[in-house]
Amino acid sequence: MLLPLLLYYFIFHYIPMAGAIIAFQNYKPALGFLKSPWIGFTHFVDFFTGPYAWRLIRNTLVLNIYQIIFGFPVPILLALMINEIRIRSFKKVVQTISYMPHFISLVVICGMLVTFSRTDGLFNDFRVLFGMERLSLLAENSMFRTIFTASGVWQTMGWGSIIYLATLSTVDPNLYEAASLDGAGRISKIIHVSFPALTPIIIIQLIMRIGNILTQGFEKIILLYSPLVYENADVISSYVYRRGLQEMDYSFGAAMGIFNSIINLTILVLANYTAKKTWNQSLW
Amino acid sequence: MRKRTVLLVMLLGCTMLFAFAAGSKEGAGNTSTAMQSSTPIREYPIVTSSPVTLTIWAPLNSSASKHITSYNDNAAIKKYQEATGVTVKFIHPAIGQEREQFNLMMASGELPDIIIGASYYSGGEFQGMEDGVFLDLTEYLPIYAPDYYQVIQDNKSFYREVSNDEGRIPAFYSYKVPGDPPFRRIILREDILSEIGVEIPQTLAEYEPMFQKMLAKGITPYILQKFGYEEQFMGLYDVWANEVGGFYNDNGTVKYGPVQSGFKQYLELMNSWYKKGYISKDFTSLNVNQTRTLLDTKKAGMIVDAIVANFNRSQQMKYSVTAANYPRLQPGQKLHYEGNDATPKMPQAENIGAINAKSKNKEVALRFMNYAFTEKGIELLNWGVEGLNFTKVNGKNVYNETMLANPKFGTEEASYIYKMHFFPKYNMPDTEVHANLLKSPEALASRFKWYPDPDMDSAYKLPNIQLTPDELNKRTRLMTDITTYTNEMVLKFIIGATPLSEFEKFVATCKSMGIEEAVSITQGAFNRYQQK
Amino acid sequence: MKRYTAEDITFSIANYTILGLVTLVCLYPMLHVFFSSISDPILLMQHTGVMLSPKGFSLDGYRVVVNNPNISSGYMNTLIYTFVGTAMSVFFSSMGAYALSRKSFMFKKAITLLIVFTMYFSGGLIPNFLLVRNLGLYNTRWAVMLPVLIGTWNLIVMRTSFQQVPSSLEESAKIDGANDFVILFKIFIPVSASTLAVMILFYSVAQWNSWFNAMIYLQDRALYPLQLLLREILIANSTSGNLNPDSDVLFLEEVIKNATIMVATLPILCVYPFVQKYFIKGVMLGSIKE
Repeated sequence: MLLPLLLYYFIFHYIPMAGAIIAFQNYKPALGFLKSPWIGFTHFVDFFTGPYAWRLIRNTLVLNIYQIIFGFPVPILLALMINEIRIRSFKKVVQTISYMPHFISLVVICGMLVTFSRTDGLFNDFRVLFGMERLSLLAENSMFRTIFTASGVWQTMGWGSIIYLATLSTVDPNLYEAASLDGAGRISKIIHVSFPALTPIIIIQLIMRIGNILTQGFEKIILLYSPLVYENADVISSYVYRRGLQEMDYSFGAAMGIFNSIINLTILVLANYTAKKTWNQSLW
Repeated sequence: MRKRTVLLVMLLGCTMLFAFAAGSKEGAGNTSTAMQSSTPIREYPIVTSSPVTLTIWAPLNSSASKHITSYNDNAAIKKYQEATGVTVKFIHPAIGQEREQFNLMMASGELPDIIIGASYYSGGEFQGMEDGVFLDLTEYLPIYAPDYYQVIQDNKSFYREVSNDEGRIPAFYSYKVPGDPPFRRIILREDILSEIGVEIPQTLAEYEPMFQKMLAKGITPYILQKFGYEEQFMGLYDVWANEVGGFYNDNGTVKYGPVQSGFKQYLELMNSWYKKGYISKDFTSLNVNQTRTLLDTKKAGMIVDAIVANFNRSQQMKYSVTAANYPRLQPGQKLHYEGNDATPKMPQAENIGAINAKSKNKEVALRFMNYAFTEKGIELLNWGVEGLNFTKVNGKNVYNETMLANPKFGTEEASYIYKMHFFPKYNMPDTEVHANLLKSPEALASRFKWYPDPDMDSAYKLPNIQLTPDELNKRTRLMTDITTYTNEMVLKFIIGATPLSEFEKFVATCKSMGIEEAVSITQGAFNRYQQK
Repeated sequence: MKRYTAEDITFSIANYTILGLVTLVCLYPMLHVFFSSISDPILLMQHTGVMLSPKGFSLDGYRVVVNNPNISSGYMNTLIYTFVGTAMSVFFSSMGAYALSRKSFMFKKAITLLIVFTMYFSGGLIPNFLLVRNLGLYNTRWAVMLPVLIGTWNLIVMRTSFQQVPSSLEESAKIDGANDFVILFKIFIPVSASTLAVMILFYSVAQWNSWFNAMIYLQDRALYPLQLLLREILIANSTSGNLNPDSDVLFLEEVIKNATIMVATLPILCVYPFVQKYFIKGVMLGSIKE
């Protein structure tokens, strides 16, 4: 039963890992792995002695932490709320519509965000309602994290709630009955019946999410940022992207990828360990 | 526990094995085959003992892909094959992923005879030649590609650009007679100008009153380029720069624009305009389409963009645009930053064709590519097929309806279906053969306005110099950080987030980041170039 | 007879209101895309801001998509990849997840670790490409389905779900003489039906949306999936794909962008309500009395 699983991972993941050697070399595709000259840890040193290393790492971490603090609980809350809907048709409608933003490509979403952030855009119309002045929002350093995080939550909360809803649907209805008989109200039932049912999956999700703390995909950043907001917006991956544009430098990107992965893995192990000790739930 | 170790060891072992297997593709050394003859071969069609089919890897133009799936269906290419007596098979990468697929092709070790897009090679096509992947053409050209060789010999600057420091040539490049009118201009709407009662500005002093009047009408006067670098206003102060690191040539000395004192004056100008509301507050987040739309909807008054594209579009939108000449501090000021068409070598990847060093049909491939530089080849690729998409009128070639007003597709697509707009060849000037410009005499005229300007030249533009891989590595390392810093500071200075009194601090920081080393690397390469 | 307390009512009102707002906010992007896709191209380009109705009317965007010679094979291919790929993925994932969830399994910690490791380290583009070539899978449908056969995240979630199944179920089945396969398919799967449904959804959506692997591993246009074709159409009609500074502005870019999203997304949006049935009630049959 396990065999196909093992075969798959060995063939499609471990064998290509041999290619990770690139990070330590100056890779030339035509020469193959053995011939490309070794330049050791030069790439790592390059990055860490650069003037922006700290800023890039900080931004990557901060944006991720924001996303976890604001983005992680929202799908859970959403699932709990949807679960409480009694009207079948409304429930279906909310579920289906809530995950639509997930399917809209990032380019279109960011296009909308850019338009709304202009001085004559929708976001500024709201600001005026609250007595604030019009600003080109994406040019404001202080606004970047908000726009980035909030739009991320908006786009992913529906899709993210699916797994929790699925888990909630397995809860034995008798448990709710029993709670009612004990005099529990709606909120109490959520806290004492619904939420505990989600605990295992929440912990696993959280561990895996934290295990990606240093990963920040560059696509959305590139679509939204400009040099004015580099201070808060420039992350490791966007910097690597710009460097890659100037010269076809694979090894640098690969080296950064490995650095990324090592840190992530370490944090994952820590998170897993903590979860095991605290809640007796863990990835392994 | 032991079992786990065993498993891990097994995994590692197999991994190593695979790495060895995969790494066994060797790069061939530079071999020179015996020359069959030592006199130039000029006859076409090419006669061979058995029919030859050449394989060509080339990016497929995205506009053309809407109607044809391969250049094999291109009318000019079909005739080209007839004329050379060689059949070709094109291999096209997925559109938008040319770089990735090029690298995958390299990794697979199976290359076609001809590779167009050779500059995608890591480190450039010169590196490809060094590595033995692309054929070193130097010895072969005089014999098998005499027409291409002639062009190189007749044009010193072309020779310098297509050869490395030792004079070796890695590919067929496109040669273009320099001197097409520039395509990028300051663009204004004629109706706005007449509404506010202003003539096209010539000197810097005339711009502010125009902006003032536009602002009074509720029109955002100027949409500055996204990164804040507008060469037409920088040039007033004898500097040049751009967002990927602007080095320019001031009379033999390589300079980095942003740290020059003239650049400070430029920033002061932009900052004062921004403060007065003459520059759109959204300029950092607008892209080309959005900027053009602002002009179309009369929300913006002035942009800097391609003149013919805007002309054609505005005609469709039922209004008229006009171009302004390069602004000057005082009339007759000499300017040096016009970079368009300054050098004969065309830089696009589609214009660079290398030959596979391991090809079994080297001589045929060379002669095939050379045809593009013969008289008949020039006409075929620049114009197309006589009778099909152009006719001869009084000895001059004129495009016909099929080309300019085809019901199925526009001139953009037609340029890749009936002829080869981008291909390593001898290029006639755009103003003679480019279908988009010849669509209407007005379109052409819009491009010619203000041209030629005797007080403008391209002296500042650095030619295509070559850096060694070491130099390139070092300079990129420095420049990625320096441009990050510079781009940030330029915008901050312009919008006033950082006062211009800190300009000297900015220069000092650039120096501490190593800009002087980057400049000297570039200077060295430039000097070597001049020696060739 | 159910009595509604005050808390009940306030809670419900608050719940419905908030969810109503959420729905509107989430609906907007889809409406924007839909209206844009049927708008007149020029009017669309000129419109900025919120879009509450189509600007003009035109089916030009859809026309370009539909006229693409490969569009029908594209749909066919995507359906094949999605159905076959998802079936295989779910099948093998559940087997693997079952094995990993058994408490008595000796190596489970080690293997889980190795598997999780692959989420962080990968060989990269070129080694994977070489592997596929050397396996002879290049330019075949398998190249699109096999490298993504098992999603690690999905595997972990399934395993977690299986771990929640009470051991008494497994024990009673074993007493009846059932082997692992029977236990998995006759007991665990039905009991974890909702998780399984989610797996089916996730795998099929991932497969439906994928284009990158197809782009690298397939050369024959007849094998291209829908998303890859749509992407090509988009680039062919966009200013980023256009090198020529003098060319006419391509008006259709925006309309086509939105039309391609509609064409690609509507079918998959229909899968969810279908799969939703399984989320209704838990399937804990009264097979055990606690």
